[in-house]
Amino acid sequence: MKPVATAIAIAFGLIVLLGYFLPLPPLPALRDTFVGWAVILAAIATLIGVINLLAVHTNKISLQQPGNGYSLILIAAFILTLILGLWEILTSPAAPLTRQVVNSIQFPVEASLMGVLAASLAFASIRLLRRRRSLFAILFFVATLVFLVAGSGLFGILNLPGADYLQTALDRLPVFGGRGLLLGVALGSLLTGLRVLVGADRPYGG
Amino acid sequence: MADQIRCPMCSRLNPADLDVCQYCQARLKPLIAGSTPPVPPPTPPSQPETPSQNADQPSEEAPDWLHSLRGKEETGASEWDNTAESSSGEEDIPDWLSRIREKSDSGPEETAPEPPASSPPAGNELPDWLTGATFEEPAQQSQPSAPSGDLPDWLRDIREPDERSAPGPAGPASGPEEQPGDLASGGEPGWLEQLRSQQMVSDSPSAPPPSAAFSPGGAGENQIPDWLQSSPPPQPPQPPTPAEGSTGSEQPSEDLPEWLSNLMGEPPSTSSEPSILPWAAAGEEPPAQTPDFTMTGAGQPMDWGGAAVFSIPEPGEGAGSGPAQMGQENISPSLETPGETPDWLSSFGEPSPGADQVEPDWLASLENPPAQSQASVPGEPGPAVEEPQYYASLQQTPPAESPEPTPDWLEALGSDQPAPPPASEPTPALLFEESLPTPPPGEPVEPFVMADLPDWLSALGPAESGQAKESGQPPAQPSTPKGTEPAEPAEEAIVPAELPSWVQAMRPIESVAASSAAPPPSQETDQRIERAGPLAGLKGILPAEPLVAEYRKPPTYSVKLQTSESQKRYAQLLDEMLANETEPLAHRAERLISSQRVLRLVVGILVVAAVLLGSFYPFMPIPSQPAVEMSNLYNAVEALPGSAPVLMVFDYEPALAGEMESAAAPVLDHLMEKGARLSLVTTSPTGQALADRLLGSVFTPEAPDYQQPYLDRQAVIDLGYLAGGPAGIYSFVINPGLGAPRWAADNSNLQDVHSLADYRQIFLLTDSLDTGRAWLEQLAAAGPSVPGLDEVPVMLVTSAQAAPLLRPYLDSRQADGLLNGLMGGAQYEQLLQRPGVANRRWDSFAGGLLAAIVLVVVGGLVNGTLSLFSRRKTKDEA
Repeated sequence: MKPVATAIAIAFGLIVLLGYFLPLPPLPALRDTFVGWAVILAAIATLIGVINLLAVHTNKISLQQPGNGYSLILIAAFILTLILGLWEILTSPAAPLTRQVVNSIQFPVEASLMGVLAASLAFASIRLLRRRRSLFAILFFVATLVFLVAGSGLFGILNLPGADYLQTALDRLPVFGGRGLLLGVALGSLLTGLRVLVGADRPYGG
Repeated sequence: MADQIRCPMCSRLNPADLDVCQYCQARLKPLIAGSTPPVPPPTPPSQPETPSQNADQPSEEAPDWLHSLRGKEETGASEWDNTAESSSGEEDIPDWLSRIREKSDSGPEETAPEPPASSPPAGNELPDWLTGATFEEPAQQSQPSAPSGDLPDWLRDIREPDERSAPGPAGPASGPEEQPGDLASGGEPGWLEQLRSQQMVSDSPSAPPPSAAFSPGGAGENQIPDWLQSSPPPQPPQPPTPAEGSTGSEQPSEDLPEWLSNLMGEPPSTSSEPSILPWAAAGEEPPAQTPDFTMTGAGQPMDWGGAAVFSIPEPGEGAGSGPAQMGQENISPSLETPGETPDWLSSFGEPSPGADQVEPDWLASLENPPAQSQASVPGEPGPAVEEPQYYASLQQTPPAESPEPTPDWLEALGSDQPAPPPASEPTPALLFEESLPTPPPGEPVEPFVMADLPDWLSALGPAESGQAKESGQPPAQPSTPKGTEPAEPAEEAIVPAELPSWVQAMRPIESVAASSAAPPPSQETDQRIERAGPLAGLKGILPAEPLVAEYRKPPTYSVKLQTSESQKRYAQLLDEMLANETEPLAHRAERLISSQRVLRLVVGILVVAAVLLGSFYPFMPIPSQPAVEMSNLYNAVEALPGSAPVLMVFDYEPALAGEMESAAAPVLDHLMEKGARLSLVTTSPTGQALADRLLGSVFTPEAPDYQQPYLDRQAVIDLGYLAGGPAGIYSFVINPGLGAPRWAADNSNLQDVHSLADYRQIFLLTDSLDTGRAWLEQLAAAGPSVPGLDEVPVMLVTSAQAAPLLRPYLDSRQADGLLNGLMGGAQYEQLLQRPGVANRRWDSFAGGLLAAIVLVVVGGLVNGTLSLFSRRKTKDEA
């Protein structure tokens, strides 16, 4: 069974890839069809992921493992949200309750976590030189201060000569690193796809 | 070898001058009388000659037994081995012979003859006259035991009368157990007949001349040799017990010598009258076991150490003295006390001090050629004749090895011979079972006397075989047939090699223990008793059953590593060192109230205070010079015609909703001002909710920030959630109706929109690199498939963290505008000249940002300084 799955994966991948480069009549249509099937499978995979999440937390509750209380809250919230959303779909397309849940619970919680992260990063920066006193630690410390100052708009406020150029340079400086990241990500994605096409990597369990 | 004598008992070499073996105390120079055939009277020798002289000059006419008497000095054969050979030649007069002569001269005295000094004792040799033709089967009684040509005339004459006389009843058949000299022929020897006849004639030791039977060439009939008719036999030490088959219980004749009487089993008598053996007197066969001449009168073996001793007249004594003559007159067994060696026996082997001893004629005749012997008148004293060879052989050193095979009876005699008596008293050569020396305690008793045994047989002693079994070595070679060369002496046995210490150290202990515990297979084989087959019950044989059938548990070898104490100690030390490396450092539990907790709390409070202060007191001006990309975005939106369809993608998370709403609100407000028809799509599950949140804050008629007429929410088309990530994006880009479930062609707001190329602008609201990259790449990949899609500008509204990562797409013209975070929103609002959410949040954001900067700077410097002092202190303490 494993060789069959590998063969199917390789075949479909090659057809889609060829459909991108060869505008031959059957290939683009097949490409679009296979991509549509992938979208459906991705949606189903998301749903399966949600179901697996429920199963894990349910098992955790049944085995009375440590932290099963949080699992109970999660399952309860899920069920409540599911019921509420299904009901609103049937009754009210606007789904005000669902939006209220998002606005009242999810948004504040995640925003608060982001605020705690910011404070923790500031605190870690304060203790950075005490824990590690190295060149890279000092460089990072200085870089942090510079970009905090640049992002705060002090250069524009001070109206220092060359502040604009300094601001532009500071804005452009991360781009260089970002470009490298993008290239690395692109190359990694390309190699991953090639590995799947040649059968070296079989994330589907083949 | 000439100076040494081989002991007949232990076969060890002794000096020639000893009478008794220094090892086993056996008599080295036995004198045996009575069992020998009558010898002709020795002729007085002209000169005492050494036994070696003319020893190798065998005369054609000299009998073989005479040659054998002269013996084998070189070979050192035992007394009982020299039976077939004879050597001629003149030999020195043995002492005993000289004594005999003296006796004959001095009178009927029981003196022990002294062997000549120059001549070595020949006690180990059995003279032919003792082992000659008389040793015949009973069936051959009537036949001469030796060829006539080999016997002296006197002996031959003796035998003839013996043959003519009616032989006695056949005694027990002689076997190998018979001792030399045993008259097992069944017939009465002639000399004995003569003795018997003579005893009737003479009554005193000084008897008439010896009978002709003993004279060389003489045909004496029934004449007892003088040397037999001498003193009476000695008193036997043990109570007499009749010997097997012996008929010596009969009363011996009173005329027999004492020693002879003793042989017949009667108490010795003081009479010196010659006597004959009882069995001889009775005319019966001699006892099969032991010769009668060695037996006492009571039938017990004669103890030569102190029992019957017969004195042999010295050679030359008496006219025509022969053995018979000598025996009658001079020879008489002296009844000595037990333990005392008879004189003739003790002095046997010693050189005779006298050199001018007259050798009996009969003795001389034995030495001289037949012509010479014949020339002598039997019975008449002749000139000094040469000693018989048998005399000389008695004095000669026995050869070391007998060239001839040992007869069975001789070997048997040696086996029957007991160990010699202790060294306290000399022992005669002829020993019986009772008188044989006993082996020392602890040593194995050998069934055979090791005298003159072949090397291979001597080597395979019981002790040696037992030692071989114990050591696991293969046993000695089996006995070879008689007369063959020994395969390998015991001394040449393979000695197990000694392994060097370093080799022994390499051996596994288990295998050594197993081998030491279990006997070696060879030893097991030797001890194993066969239980099957015809050889059941025997040991040391090849197994009848194959060894494969025998199951034996294989030895188990331990797999444990054998280490010494020092190695264990080092291994333990290394283990401790490695364990210390992996062990985590002990962590002190933090206190509930610690400096770190306080600092963290202080930092939080300061940041919150700065944020609140900024929200109440705006103090931070907004940078007035916007960025170029933001200006381009503003210009693009400003250039939109009225009711232009615009696609907005909401792909940011709730965590960054505050920043994204601050950045997207002015753009959305500007689009609303332009009257654009908005289409919303998202690839995030929470995208629709966030989009609705944003629109609600903007499309609120009551919103104080926006004073422009707002579009109806119905004008905003929500295309829904795109699943599948990049695949879903691509599918939507290629065919929006297929990808977006809410795409409706009949939607009034989207009647002129059939593909993405129909949109006037595409705004991408994202806070991460992944979603921004996915949309930008799929839009670029679908360009060839969607005509005109490349002409649609793509605007990016991102957070401050994703803006640097998405700026390359801006440089590559894949994106046309970029609005970066809260500050970008604030600047966009300045361009709109409508302060909004961004402006309200800018002061709080700036306040919090400045507080963080101050805290980081101050705290970093303080902590850095403290750490420097702490390290210096640690170094100083170290």
